[in-house]
Amino acid sequence: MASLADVISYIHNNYPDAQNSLSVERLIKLIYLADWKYSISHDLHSQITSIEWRIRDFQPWMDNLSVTEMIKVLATIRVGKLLRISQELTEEQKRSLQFVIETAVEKNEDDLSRLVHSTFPAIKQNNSSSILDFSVLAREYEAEFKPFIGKRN
Amino acid sequence: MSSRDSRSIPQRIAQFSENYGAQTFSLFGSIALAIAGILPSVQQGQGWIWLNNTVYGRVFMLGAFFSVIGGAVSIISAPGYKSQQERIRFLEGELASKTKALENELVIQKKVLENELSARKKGYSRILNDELKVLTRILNFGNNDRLSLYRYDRRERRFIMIARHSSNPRFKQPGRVFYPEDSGCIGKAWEQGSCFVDLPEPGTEQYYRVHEELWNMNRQTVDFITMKSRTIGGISLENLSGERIAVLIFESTRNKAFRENSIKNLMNNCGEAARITYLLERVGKIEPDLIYAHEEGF
Repeated sequence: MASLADVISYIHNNYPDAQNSLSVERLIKLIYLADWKYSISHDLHSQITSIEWRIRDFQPWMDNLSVTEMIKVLATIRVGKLLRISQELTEEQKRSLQFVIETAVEKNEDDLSRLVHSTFPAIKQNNSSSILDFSVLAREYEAEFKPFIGKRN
Repeated sequence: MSSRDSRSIPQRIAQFSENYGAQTFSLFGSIALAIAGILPSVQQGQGWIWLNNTVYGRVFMLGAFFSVIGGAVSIISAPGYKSQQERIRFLEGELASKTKALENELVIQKKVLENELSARKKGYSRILNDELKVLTRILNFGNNDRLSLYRYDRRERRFIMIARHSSNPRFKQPGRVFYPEDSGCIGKAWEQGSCFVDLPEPGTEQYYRVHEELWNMNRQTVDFITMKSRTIGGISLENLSGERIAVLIFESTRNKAFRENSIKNLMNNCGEAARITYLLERVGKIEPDLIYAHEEGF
């Protein structure tokens, strides 16, 4: 799994005008979407980060410790201290992150929220006390959702 | 008087060598190397006169002069090692406080945005759950009972559970995401407008048979259900155009927990069905939509 610093750094470096337009709320959604996108894009179905996600009111939620760590990393990047960070992300992970960045840039807060709460894990485990297991959810998504799409087509 | 002035000579030398040791050694080193270059000619008895009489000697003198002056100026003007260290420490402190200030700013920003968004998202996700919560109170539902609301997905011809309430945390947990349109009490209530059944003791052959015969549910699906209901009822909800849009399911693990007539009376004559339908219509536009997420690549 990639470090949070690497993931945030990658997003910050590639998000247009990140300094002004990338809020913490938006960043949380981006990381969640990247974790989900990555898990449905490769066979092992693992997530990029080691964040323990939960869903509350259809929104991804992480514990306060992770939020604090995330804010620290973001602040450190913004004051220019983490510019030379080693980005040990795989090409597949970078592709998922890039995809999420390109999707999110076009969306305002409401549209991005709607996208997030329309994802399979958000619907499947809304207000559940359990931590999201992306590898299980990605398999369930394949099994439960894809057949419906197939039927539709 | 400053503490620097009160220092003894050895202390001052130590301080000087700590600050300017490298530059001083470098200066004396280059002077020594230059002298080493002219010593052979002095030793050969030519004395020091050639320094003044020859072009080579004059260039050497000029070079030595500039080297000494340059070295001295460099020592005087260049910040010493210690002061550089102090400067680095100062800048690091500044950077740390700037980082901390930014962290605090980000925390505040996050809280403001979080409140703003949660007010909006509560508009969707809480409102229906709260409505079901009120309904469970009216019905006097307790730890053994549950209410679930399933919206019909016309495009995909299936049901999606969009709100659920039970005071029992185990029964409150979300189950499957999708429910087929032709299965279970949901399917029956959708097809016939309502469906109320008192079920036999869970785990018995009769229990499985009722599920199979009435609702097209096999043994494996029945085993998968967390809440083994004894009383179950479903009512389809229609919008103002008379179009069915959702099914509300009432469940209890108690035997004969509620009666069909009283539920129907509450829903249809007391306006509960109309209220839920109205809310469903209002939140429809911002409701989670898996197809939307799928089309966006997620």
